[in-house]
Amino acid sequence: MNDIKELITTGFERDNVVNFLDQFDQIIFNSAIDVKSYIAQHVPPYLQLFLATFLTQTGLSSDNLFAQSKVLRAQVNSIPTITLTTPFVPDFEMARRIGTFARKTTGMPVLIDFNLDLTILGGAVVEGNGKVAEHSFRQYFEEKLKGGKHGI
Amino acid sequence: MMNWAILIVIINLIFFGAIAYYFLNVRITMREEQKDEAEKQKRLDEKIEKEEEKIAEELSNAKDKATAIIEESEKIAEELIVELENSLGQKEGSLHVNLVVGNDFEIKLGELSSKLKRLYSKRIHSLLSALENFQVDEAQKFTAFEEQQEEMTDRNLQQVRVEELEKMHKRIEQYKEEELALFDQKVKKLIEEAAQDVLGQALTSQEQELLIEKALAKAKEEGVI
Repeated sequence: MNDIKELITTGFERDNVVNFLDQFDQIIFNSAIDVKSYIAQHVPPYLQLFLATFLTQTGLSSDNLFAQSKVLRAQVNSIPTITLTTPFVPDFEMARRIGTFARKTTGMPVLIDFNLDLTILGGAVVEGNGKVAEHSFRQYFEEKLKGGKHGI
Repeated sequence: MMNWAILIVIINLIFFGAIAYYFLNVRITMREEQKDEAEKQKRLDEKIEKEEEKIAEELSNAKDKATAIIEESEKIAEELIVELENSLGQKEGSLHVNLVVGNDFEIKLGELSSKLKRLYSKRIHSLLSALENFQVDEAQKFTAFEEQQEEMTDRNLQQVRVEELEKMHKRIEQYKEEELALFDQKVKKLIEEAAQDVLGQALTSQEQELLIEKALAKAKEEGVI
């Protein structure tokens, strides 16, 4: 894996990587650390090998590590995002599965940001490229209710 | 002497004739006035009768309108339930949700149906009772007004009565509109609440995930993502 885009699929994971890089940038100038051990302690296993390889590939000096951190941060922040408003909070595995499905559907390495709205009931509100589409039971009910003679 | 007597008789005849003519004229005038008054009274009575019929008809229309709304909303609720059962209850439905036959979801759809019917029934009963009570209340007020009128001697009484009827008509009209608008809003709200209470909890996480994927696929088709 040479690209962070292939490893993370959700906004939650993106935020975790960015938070880790914030801490990493400070620690590399303040104290001598074992980069691999530090990464092993602060990020989930599926990201550890990639981060260790990516951050140390130009050298172990503070400047080199910082430069790589900056490149990685830019890559993470450049990944396009789709916002999904759902009627429940998906667990991590489900969120990743939905993220993978979104990538397969769009053909792009997108990230999914999740919002919660209980009134949706089922389905989701999808936001991307400045556009919004709702395909939910809430919308279904609202359309049915508007169809009545008296607005019911 | 004789001539004087004849003259006095003639004068008396003329005098009494004039008096008789005067009273005759007075009587004729009074009869005409009475006739005019009776005609006026008749016209007012007809107007009042017409107003009363109009009010009765409007109350009847209010109930018809309420009944039509109720029937239509019940029909929509039934359609919603049938369509939900058809689309979600089948194994290869248009939403591609696989549900095990006889699971909790189907049972909860039944609960949704019962809950909607119960809530509808309660609200409908309340609406019709309100209209009935209002009609009775207005009838009582009108009876009291009629009793009060019998004691009055004013010539403008009938006009007052017509004005009172017109005011009553306006009050009924306003009440009907407010009550029906309130009913309309509450029906919408209770359908949404019942659906949210029952349906939102009924879907499993796997079903929710499939619905989200379906939403993503549709959004892609629409060019949103």
